[in-house]
Amino acid sequence: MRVPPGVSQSDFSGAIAEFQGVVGKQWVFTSDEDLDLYRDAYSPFLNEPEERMASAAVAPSATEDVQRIVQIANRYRVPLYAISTGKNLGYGGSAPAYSGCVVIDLKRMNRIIEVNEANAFALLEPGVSYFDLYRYIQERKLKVWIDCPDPGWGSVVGNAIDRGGGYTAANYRNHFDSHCGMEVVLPNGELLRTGMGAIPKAETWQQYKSGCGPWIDGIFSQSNYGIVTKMGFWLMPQPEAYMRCTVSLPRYRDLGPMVETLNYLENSRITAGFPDIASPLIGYPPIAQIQLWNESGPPAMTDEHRKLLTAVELGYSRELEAYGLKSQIPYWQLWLSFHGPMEVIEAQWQATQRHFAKIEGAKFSIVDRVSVPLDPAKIENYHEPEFGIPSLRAFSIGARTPWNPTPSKGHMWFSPIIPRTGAAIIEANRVFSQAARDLGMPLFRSFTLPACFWERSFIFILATPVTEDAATNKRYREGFKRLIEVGGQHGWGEYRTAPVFQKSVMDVYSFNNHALHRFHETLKDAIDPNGVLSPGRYDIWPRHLRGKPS
Amino acid sequence: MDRREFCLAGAVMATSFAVARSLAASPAIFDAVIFDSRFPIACNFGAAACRRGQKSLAIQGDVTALWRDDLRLRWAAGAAAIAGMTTERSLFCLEQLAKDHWLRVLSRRSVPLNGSLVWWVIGGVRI
Repeated sequence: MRVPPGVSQSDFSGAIAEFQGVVGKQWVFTSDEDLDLYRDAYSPFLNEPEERMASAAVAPSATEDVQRIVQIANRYRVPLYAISTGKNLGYGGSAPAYSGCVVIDLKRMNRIIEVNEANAFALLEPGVSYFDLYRYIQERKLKVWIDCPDPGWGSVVGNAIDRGGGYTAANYRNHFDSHCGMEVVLPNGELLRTGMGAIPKAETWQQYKSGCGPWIDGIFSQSNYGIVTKMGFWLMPQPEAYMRCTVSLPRYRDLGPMVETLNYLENSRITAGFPDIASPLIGYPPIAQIQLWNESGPPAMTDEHRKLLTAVELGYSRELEAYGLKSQIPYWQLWLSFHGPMEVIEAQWQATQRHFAKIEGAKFSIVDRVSVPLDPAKIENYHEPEFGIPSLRAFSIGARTPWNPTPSKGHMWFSPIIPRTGAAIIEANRVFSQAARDLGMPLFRSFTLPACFWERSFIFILATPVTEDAATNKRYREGFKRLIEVGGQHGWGEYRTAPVFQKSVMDVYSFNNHALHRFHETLKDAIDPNGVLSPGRYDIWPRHLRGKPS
Repeated sequence: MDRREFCLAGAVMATSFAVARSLAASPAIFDAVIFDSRFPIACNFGAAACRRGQKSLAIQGDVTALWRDDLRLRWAAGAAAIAGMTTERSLFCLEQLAKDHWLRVLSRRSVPLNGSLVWWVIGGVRI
């Protein structure tokens, strides 16, 4: 039996026996073959001694079980690591941040407690996946949409706690922002409800977020201050129609005005669907078409076009721009989507065109105009998550095809947040492409465009491959950390990262001698003095483990 | 393609492969056999299983519908052993989904003559 560091064999055996008493023997896992299921499938330490491993796993089915497990862990000083379903591949998966933790696996807590169609909200346990919630809604023919990531196999609660994002309308794409109310088991086993849920007979727990007094929900995301056992979410009323359009712009210099116009339109809610920036001239696809490109290849390109691309600097050359103008290939193409009654979205599209028409040479096109719900037979023609439909098709992106002959064994997401300006896109490309070249990292090799999951900011989400070669993985890990530092030197930070990189990322958030990190530690000491809950998550360590290698 | 159509299609396939034969000869009865119908050798594999009366299910790379409409229910009802011949990527997805039921890949082998495919068995320590 594996044993957590610093815990005696007899204490660990005692804790395991008590866990078994709570959940039943069949839901406590200690064999190597069972614990292998909790390895991170995309571990940057693939098959190396430093790979994070669990010492055991326990799968409760109810909040009361979680409370008792946490109390037992405190008595024996056994470290726990909570997961919902552990599907955040590229950001750590189901493996603990600190090797030797007992994974407290919440996937058996999979009750959909309520879906309220009339006011469009839901209350869920952490084991509910996007597929589960989508199916529940479809079976009952409820007229609400979920907003899911891609792939959509993960936990709704887990993704929100990890601050993931999706593809529908702006006010639902940020999954943490769209939550409303939590139930949390604290590190001492006590049960807490946030927002209006703190009122014993609360009638508006999922209808008003902040309650009264300090609003503490944020401290339970990307942290180790509690185990969320219920979480409310606002859902999107099913729109009557969906329209997808493109705005095409001919010149490199149009990037800045394009972003400024997009910001105004999105911040004014004239457009709220997922904006997707592409460059047909550079050969950079919209996110919605990446899987199509991978399956059937990118659009054909002339030899002249391909040759011109080899000589661009930061995505630009005068010759390439001239070629684009001559061949009527847009430099930039912004894909916009609209949800709502047809007469409303037609008016929004008209207003959108009026604003973009101020950019010389702007061209407009309607790609799709459909009633909702979609005809099930036609769903595969679309990027399903933009309709709130969970899918696993994203995995074709990494599949072996003629256009991707050597797929990787996984990846670690490099995902810095940058300002929402055209200048920032170019500057980030300049900084990161230079650094990546110097480090021999397979990122930013051509001009890279950011994604628009969040309002007000851009995010790059770039896959650094995990390979079967330990030396290559080591080089990529070190390069990854250096890219994090380089970003920090320019005022850019990651929004989320795998445990291996959490210290490097949090080191960037260093204002006033790491005041934020010191506050995190102060909180940790106050509410988890034994340090049993998810030690090391986002570099928040209990006092007895600070300064020690993880 | 339903099971009957699949059996008919499999029956007229001209080629035969060792892997398909080995499955056909295997005494093991799986709860389902998955094959990627984009690849003739995988179709043969599925056809051989079908002839033995095993439930055979076709995919074309993406496992979403297979999982949503069949495996999810099968695994939720209790541990089920399934075999398949798919791309590594499809297997990867199924492996991650199987973990939700504490099932795992018990065996995986590259398919001779086709570097894109693996044949595999998913089951569980709890079977």
